[in-house]
Order: sequence, then C-alpha cells, then structure tokens
Amino acid sequence: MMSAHLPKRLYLLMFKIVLLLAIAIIPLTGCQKPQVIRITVAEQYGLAYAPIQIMKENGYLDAALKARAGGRPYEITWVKLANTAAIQEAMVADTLDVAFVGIPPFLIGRDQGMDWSIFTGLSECPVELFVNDPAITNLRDLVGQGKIALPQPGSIQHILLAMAAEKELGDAKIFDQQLVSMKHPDGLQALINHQGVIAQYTAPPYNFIAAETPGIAMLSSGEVALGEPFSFIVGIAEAPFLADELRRSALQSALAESFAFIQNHPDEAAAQLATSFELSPETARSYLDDRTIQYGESIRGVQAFADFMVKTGYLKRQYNEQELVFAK
Amino acid sequence: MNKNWSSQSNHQPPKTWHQISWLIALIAFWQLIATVKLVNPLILPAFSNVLIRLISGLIEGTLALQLLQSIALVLLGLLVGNLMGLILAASDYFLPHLRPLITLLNAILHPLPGVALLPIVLLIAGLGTPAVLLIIIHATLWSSYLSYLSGFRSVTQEHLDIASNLGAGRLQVLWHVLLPLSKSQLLTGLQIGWSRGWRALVSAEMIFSAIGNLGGIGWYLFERRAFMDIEGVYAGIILIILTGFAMETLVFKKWQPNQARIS
Repeated sequence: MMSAHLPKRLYLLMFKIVLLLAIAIIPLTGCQKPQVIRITVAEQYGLAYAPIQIMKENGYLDAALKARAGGRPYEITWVKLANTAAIQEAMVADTLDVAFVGIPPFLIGRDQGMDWSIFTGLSECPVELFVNDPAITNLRDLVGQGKIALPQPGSIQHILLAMAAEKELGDAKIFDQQLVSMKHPDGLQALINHQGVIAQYTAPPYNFIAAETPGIAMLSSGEVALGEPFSFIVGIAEAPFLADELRRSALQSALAESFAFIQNHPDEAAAQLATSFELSPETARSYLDDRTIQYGESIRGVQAFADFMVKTGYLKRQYNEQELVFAK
Repeated sequence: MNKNWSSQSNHQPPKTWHQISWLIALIAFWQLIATVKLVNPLILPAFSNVLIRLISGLIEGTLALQLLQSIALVLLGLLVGNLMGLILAASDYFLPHLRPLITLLNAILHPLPGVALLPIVLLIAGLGTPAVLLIIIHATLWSSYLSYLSGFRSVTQEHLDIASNLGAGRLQVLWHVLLPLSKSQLLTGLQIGWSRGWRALVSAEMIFSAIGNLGGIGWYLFERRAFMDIEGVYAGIILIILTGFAMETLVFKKWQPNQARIS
C-alpha cells in the first residue's frame, strides 16, 4: 500500500521544500534603509580601551561626524559586548560597524571568512602570566598542575601562552587541557583566593594588581613570548564600512583626537579614566606616566601572530600583513 | 475525505515515514539555501560541511571522548540525584514530621534553575567536575523526588494493608510494595531527570566553563564559538540533539512498560 503512492510522496517532498523556501525568502525582501548616517561601535571595558572611553565622553566622534555630515542626520550607537565571539556575531548580523579586539581573534575571524581588516592600532601594554604557587618557577612546573584562567580560547592571552609553551617546552598546545575561561576580574579573584585556579594570563590593570599581591608571581610575559612589541588592541571593521570614506575618516580623526588628548592632557585624561575604571586619580595617572600602557594608532606584531598561528594550526592559510591591514 | 478529517487528525501519533520525510525536506532545504548562498555562510554553513566536521571531529578529534564524558557525568548525576530523591520521597512518605521541611525545600529549590546556583556552587566546589556534578544532581533530584512520591501515593490502601497484615516493616513496604507498584512513574522520573540533567550540563559548561579535564560537549560548543567556527558550532548542536534523541527514544522509551502513560 505504501509503495503505490511513491510519486505522490515525491510531490509532497518537493512541496515541502518549496514551502520552506518561500517562508525563508519572505523576510529577506523589502528592507530599505533610511538615509541616516549610522555608526555602531563596540564599547569595551578595560584600561587598554581608554581612548574609546575618552572619545565617547568628550564627544569627539559626534563632532567629527557632524563636521562631515553636511546637515544630514547621523546617529552613533555604543554597544557593550562580552567578548570577541559576540563581536563577530554582531558584525555578521549587521548590527555592529567597528570593534576593538586583540590581533589573534581578528585573525581567527578573518580565517573563518569575515571580510574585516585592521584600520588602526589602539594600545600596547604588558600582558603577563601569573601563578599563585611559589613552587612553580617556570613553565615546565606548570604543566598538568591546575587551571589556567584566561578570557577565552583563541584570545591574545591564549595565543601568547601557546607561544611561550612552544618556545620553552616545544609544544604549543601543552596547556590547552588546563584552560578555563574567566573574565579578568573573576580570574584575578580566583587566583588570589586559590579558588580552583593556579595561574592567570591577564592584562592591565589586573596584572598591575597581581604584581603587587604577595604570593603571586609573574611567570611569563607576552613580549618575551612573541619576541617583539605588539599591539594589544587594534581597531577592526568590515570592508563596506572601511570603503565609506565619511564614516571611516570621522572615526579615525576622533581616535586621533583621543590619542592627542591623553598625550597632552594626562591629568585630565587620568581623572576621566579614574572615574570610568574606579581607580584613584593618582593610580590612573601612574599608569599613564610610567608608559606601561601606550596609546596610538601604530599597528605592530600582526605578521608575527599570523605566522605563529598558521604554524600551529590555529589558522588555515598563510597571510601577509598587507592584506590584513586596511590602507586607504 | 471530509468525513475522515476528524478521525484522522484525532491525536494519532505521526507516522515515522512522515517525520523522516519532513526531516529530509528540512535538510535538503538547508543544503539548498546554503549552496545558492541565500544566507551568509557565516550564519548558515552547508549541511554537508557540518556533517563532515561532525564526523571528522568524532573520528580524529576529542569530540567522541568529550561526548562520552558528558554522558557519563549526567548518568552519574542522575544516579546520585535519583537515590537522594528516593530517600527524600521515602522520608516524606513515612515520616510525617519531616514532610513540611521536605515540601518546603522542594517548593524553594525545584523551580530554581541549576545554572542560577552555579556562582555559589563554584565557590564551594571550585571549577571543574564536582561543580558540574552538583548542578546535575540538583537538576535531577527534585523531579525524581516528585515522581517517587506520586508513585508511592498511587499505591492503594489495600496493598499497604496486606503488607502490614503480613508484618512488613517500612523498608519492606518500600522495597516490596511501593517501588514495584510505582515503576511507571519512576521511569518517567528518570526520563525527566535525564533531560534536565543533560540541559544543566550543557548550560553549566557553556556559561561558566566549569569543566573537567577534557571538557564536555558544552565546552566543545563554547570553544568552537570562541574560534568563530560556525561549522563546529552546528556540529556540536547536532550532536547534542542526536544524543538527547537517542537517550530519550532508544533508552527510556524502550524501558517504559506502557507508553500511553507518558503525557
């Protein structure tokens, strides 16, 4: 009885496919965007992102867009996103234009097919690995010992750890089974209080705090692992945004203003950052003064990261810096 | 045709063939729109690529081990949670003094998602397997307690009277009367416990990355997302679906003495 109706079943199957196609196509039609100049920036949290905070609070981007818009309406949206995976998802969903991330997550996204490029550097700063056990004095002691906290797999901290592991122990992935994904403040808390974590790979200001905490010692640093200075955070955007002269140049000039402000008015910048990051003004000023964190548009270390990540299988194909960095 | 309308649609379970044909249609549709690039491949990669990723992950990578670790962890949590549920239900049944306390605890804790408890559990148990296990036990404990209790309460007074006339003690009544007579509820409880435990495990691993040495299937998903590997993410989701489906249909439905009782 069943086989007699086979052609009918085929018809039914085709009907089902067509029905589903129709359902999928309907929402794709009829989306006209109004002529408002829109720019959506991922606003992240941390000292390394300070120029973005300053740019936002001092209205630099607003002024730069106004000067270029020629009376057209414009709109700036700041969104808070938890991590680089969320940034990539937001860009795919077309709800984000610009973000500031570490070089490795940028490379991973590019390798997975994102058409994004680096258009500016943002900051350079020390990124360091700390342990809470005095018995651990080098990386070999750390192997198999306990959990290592870092923001997430594929983050700049993870790749720097892999580099150090490769350099000193000959195996880039030796610590991959010991990773635990924690935000910097949670990781530091767990490190100091010995709550299931033996090490943490972290960045300012958390490494400054860790360095001053008794019983916590630095084991490895990013600059030693990579062998050269590198941009900790870079600015990235997708090709359509970068091709849009108006919005891109507005953003770049606003960033330049932020860098200049931090350079020329360190007291005011420190005061602003102190409020944003709940630091004392003196502490904020000391971070800027001793130049442990440097802000600026120069982009460094891209090629070194790319080469290492290709060699260790984190990237599928070879890249050269020219194709990764946006040039006007 | 018209005449049959009401009787045909009268809550007959759908035929397997019809479900499979819909599944084939859905997969063909997925493959089709991915192939013609109707949707950004970063949102929806081709089904074939996902399948290849899934199979290669299972054969070459650690995915199979991660999956087994996850299943083993849920089953262990289910076992412990179920035993604790049995103890609670038996205490509730036999010890009227404790009943208000147990009822109260159930009212407070049963509606609480295990993931909401995780920040506190992590402080107590630290990161890693014990924390995930505690969350799974929490997820399975209360539903198994309720199933045991409803099973015990469905046992008629006659059965209890007979046991009591034969001089049975509480443990004997529990073992020889209450448990055998409430088998169906117990199996339903196990089934609910499994699905709740499975969800708790995936959430715990994904949200807090509280993981064992290898990390389970939730960690796999988390890691693939961090590497922006959308094919891997879909592969992980499909594996979670397949595992849940396999456990519910192949294991629990096979045990069920009377399918009609599942609601």
